[in-house]
Amino acid sequence: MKNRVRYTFILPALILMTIIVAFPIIYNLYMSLHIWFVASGSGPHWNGLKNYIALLSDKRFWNSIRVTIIFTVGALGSEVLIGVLLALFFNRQFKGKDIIKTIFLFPIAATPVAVALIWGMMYNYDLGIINVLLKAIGLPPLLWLADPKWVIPALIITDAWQWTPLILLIVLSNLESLPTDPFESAKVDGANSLQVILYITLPMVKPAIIVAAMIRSIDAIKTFDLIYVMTQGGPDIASENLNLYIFNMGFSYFRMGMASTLAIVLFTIVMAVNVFLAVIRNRDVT
Amino acid sequence: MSKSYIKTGLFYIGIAAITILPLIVFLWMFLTGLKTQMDNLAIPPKIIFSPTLQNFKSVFAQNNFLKYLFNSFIVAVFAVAISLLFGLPAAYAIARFKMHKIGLTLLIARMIPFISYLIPWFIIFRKLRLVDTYIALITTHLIITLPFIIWIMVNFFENVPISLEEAARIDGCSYFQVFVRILIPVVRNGIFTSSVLGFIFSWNQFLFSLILSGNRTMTVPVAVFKFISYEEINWGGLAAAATTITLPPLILTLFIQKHMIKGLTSGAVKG
Amino acid sequence: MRKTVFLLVLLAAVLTSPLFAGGKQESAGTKKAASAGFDWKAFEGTKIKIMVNKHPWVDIIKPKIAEFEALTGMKVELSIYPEDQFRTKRTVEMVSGTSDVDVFMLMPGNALAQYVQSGWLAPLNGLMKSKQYLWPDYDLNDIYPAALNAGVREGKNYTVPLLLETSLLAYNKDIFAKTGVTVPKTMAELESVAKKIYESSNGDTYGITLRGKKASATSQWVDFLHSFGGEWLDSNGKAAVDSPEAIAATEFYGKLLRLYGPKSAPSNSWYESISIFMQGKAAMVYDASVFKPNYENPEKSAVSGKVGYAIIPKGPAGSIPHVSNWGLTIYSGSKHKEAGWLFIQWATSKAIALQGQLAGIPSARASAWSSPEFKSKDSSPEWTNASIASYKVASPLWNPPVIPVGECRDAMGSAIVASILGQDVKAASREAAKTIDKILANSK
Repeated sequence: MKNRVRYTFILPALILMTIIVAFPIIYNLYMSLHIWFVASGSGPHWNGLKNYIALLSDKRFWNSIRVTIIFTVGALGSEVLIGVLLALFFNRQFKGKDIIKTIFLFPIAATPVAVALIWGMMYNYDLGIINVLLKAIGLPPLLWLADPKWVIPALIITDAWQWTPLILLIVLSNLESLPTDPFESAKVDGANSLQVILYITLPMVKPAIIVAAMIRSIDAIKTFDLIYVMTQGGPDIASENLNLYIFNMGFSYFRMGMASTLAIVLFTIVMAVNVFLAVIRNRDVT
Repeated sequence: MSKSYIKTGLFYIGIAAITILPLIVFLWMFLTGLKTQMDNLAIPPKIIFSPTLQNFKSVFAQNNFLKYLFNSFIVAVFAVAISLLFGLPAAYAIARFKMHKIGLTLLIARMIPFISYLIPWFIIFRKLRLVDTYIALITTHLIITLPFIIWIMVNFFENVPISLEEAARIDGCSYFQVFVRILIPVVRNGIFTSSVLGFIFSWNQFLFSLILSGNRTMTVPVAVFKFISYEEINWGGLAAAATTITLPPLILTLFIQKHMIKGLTSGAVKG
Repeated sequence: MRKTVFLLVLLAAVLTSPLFAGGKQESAGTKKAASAGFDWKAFEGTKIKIMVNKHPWVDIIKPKIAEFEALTGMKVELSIYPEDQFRTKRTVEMVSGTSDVDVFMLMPGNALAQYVQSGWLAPLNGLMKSKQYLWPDYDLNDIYPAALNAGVREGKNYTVPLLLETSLLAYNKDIFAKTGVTVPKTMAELESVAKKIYESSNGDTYGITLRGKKASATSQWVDFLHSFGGEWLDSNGKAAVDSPEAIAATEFYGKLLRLYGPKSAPSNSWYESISIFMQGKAAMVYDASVFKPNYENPEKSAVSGKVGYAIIPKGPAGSIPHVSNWGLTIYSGSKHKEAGWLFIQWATSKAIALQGQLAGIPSARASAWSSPEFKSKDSSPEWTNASIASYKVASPLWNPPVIPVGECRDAMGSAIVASILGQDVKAASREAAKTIDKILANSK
């Protein structure tokens, strides 16, 4: 009885997800083993694992891996660092706290395409507000999106603007739900506030931080909208992450087999990172 | 005494300095939308200018924007509704019967790069003559909304005391009746929150709509590119359009702000 | 490899002959067209799907679609996408093999090889000869052969040109007068003029602005390449972008931008580049001739009325610009090919061509250039003369004549960006040549 009930409840969703998800996965796995240069007019033909082997010597592939790693580590790192610091800062009673929490929800809810468009304008070398402000405080203007050295930091700043609030809110709500006893006994023992934060607070919210990082890492690794709208991977390929490279391989170069191969690689990376984070978290929890 | 005043004052100045950062970008977006093209191209940027509603008017007049807003709305509402229909029972089963492994596999759908869905789906929808229909867009948006709604709702169902169900079942209710009559009303806050968040995620989706929509079903994140014209980028028009498309999610945020923080964080905190 | 375009012979004849002036004037509307006994209503009730990119030409025909619908009784569904999204969307439609689009825009120099080889286009020869479906007033011979022939592959016509554009050097006359320089005639002069303007303004005014965003930069870089005596590919079909001539051209292009151009050059496509010129921040721009209406629009441009136009300066191999065109083409899987052909004829008719010409879109029809209406209303004869001079010597090759055009352009774009950034041009060009050869080897 119980068994039948549980499957009646969950099967419709499972079947629906399988239909929507399974076909594309199987199709991609299958195509990743083929050469399919759509533009040549011929259909896909079998290539075994040679697509994967060809990637090993593809400089642009390694560039895209590098960009993906730098962007993800930079974005995730700054979001977690700033988010946690701000959460500690806000973790007290004060007037207007609810309003401020609401304000920090806005970037999370904003449409990424709109955010990217506006930041693209703000980064404009001649007309953008950011360079105007830099000049106003006596600093030289930066090329931002036009400079291979600055384009990824510029993208990270935008990403951090949009997603640091998520980390902040997750950690803050976790902080607020913590029991008060350990803090009181620590004070009795004469610990200073830095010691309390390092040895009591942070270990207690660590699981929440890791889960927040997991959520962000899935999205940061496969960032598309932001880069597509702001730089399209440029200048040259300085900000072309793996997802953009897949898009170009498939929709600019029409090499669908290779695009599928890259998609499988990206999927594997996302899975691996999540398994890694899950292992860390479980080790800590138990 | 005065020392603590200074301290409080500094604290609030700090808060104001931090809080201005998320706001100023939206403000700048709005102001850019109020400027003429010539004002937007002025160096240095004009702080004082005579605002014009022209950009906002042309967003609605020239580019059929109302229709695109409507399209986004329809797609998001149906994606959420279908996700609730399938997701609520699933979330309940996962919570009550501890099927967390199944819960995790649902997340895989989100981990697959969206781009790899595109070509296969396009082929299927073409064969079925469904490209540029709401059905195609809604189906693809389920990838985003369904796992998300299940994921959030599992936490809400787990918080419902099992005694509540058992009491009802002793009174002769079936599992299904318990679910509909007892549980759904209890978790309505969760349903509300996850629905609104699902709506926002669907609304903001770009890549699927770029490929699978057409003239009839184009959604706003794609339509915004109509303001990048052949000759030059129309900053005022783009900013006005960006303001318009991002306003609905922001307004929804105001309505559910308390629940939204809970919705976004409960999964993480309980994990 | 390089072919000179012999348009001017035809053009000059038409322009100078009093016989033609006024003689072939087209009545404005298309209503009169029905009179010739040609059945415009043959497909009454048919619905056709047209996919176009956002382009000034589309702005001309969009409000006239209703006229076409009234004339033919057909229903037209026009989908307009910005260029990048348009290319993506068009590809996906084709790759799926089940698209229901009937007519779309295509740049033959960009995608014809690929689209023909993939079998995505329907040959138009039958329709062009058809007694039943060729509108007697259409006058195929009025279309410049160079433009029409760009749409020919293996002896078959696939596209009908809706414009014929070239690239021109546009310059800000005010800045030239203030600095005391004249229009550069050679590449060396181009550099010295750019230098003088940049230095005498202490870097406030850029000497020149050009595209620097990888693939898009190659569209103008190619004219420098040809003028320096270089080629995309050698006679064996191998990459030649690392020849000494090509390296010199790439070096020169990058140097102009690095030393006298906008700092943001590596991320500038045509719209950023021409915007800088239109703000009066750069004294020169070398880009497509179709941008004249933008330069001259007082609402959007701070330099309107002050712009002069000239052909590309002479390099070691001469002045060699290129011509390119957007065309209309019919999808091979279309179920309404004949109806689509009626639309193409209407959209590329003399009347529409003249409307475009008057709005500053360089027509692919001789009659538009020679029309008295255009001549009397020509706001910038300097542009007209420079365009004609450019057509005369232009090369039709602006992309390598291969299928993976986009990939080759991206590969070369990397070398151009490297040159702008002041990196080792020789090494970057060798790398680009190697990549192109690899791409070509993988495309058989």
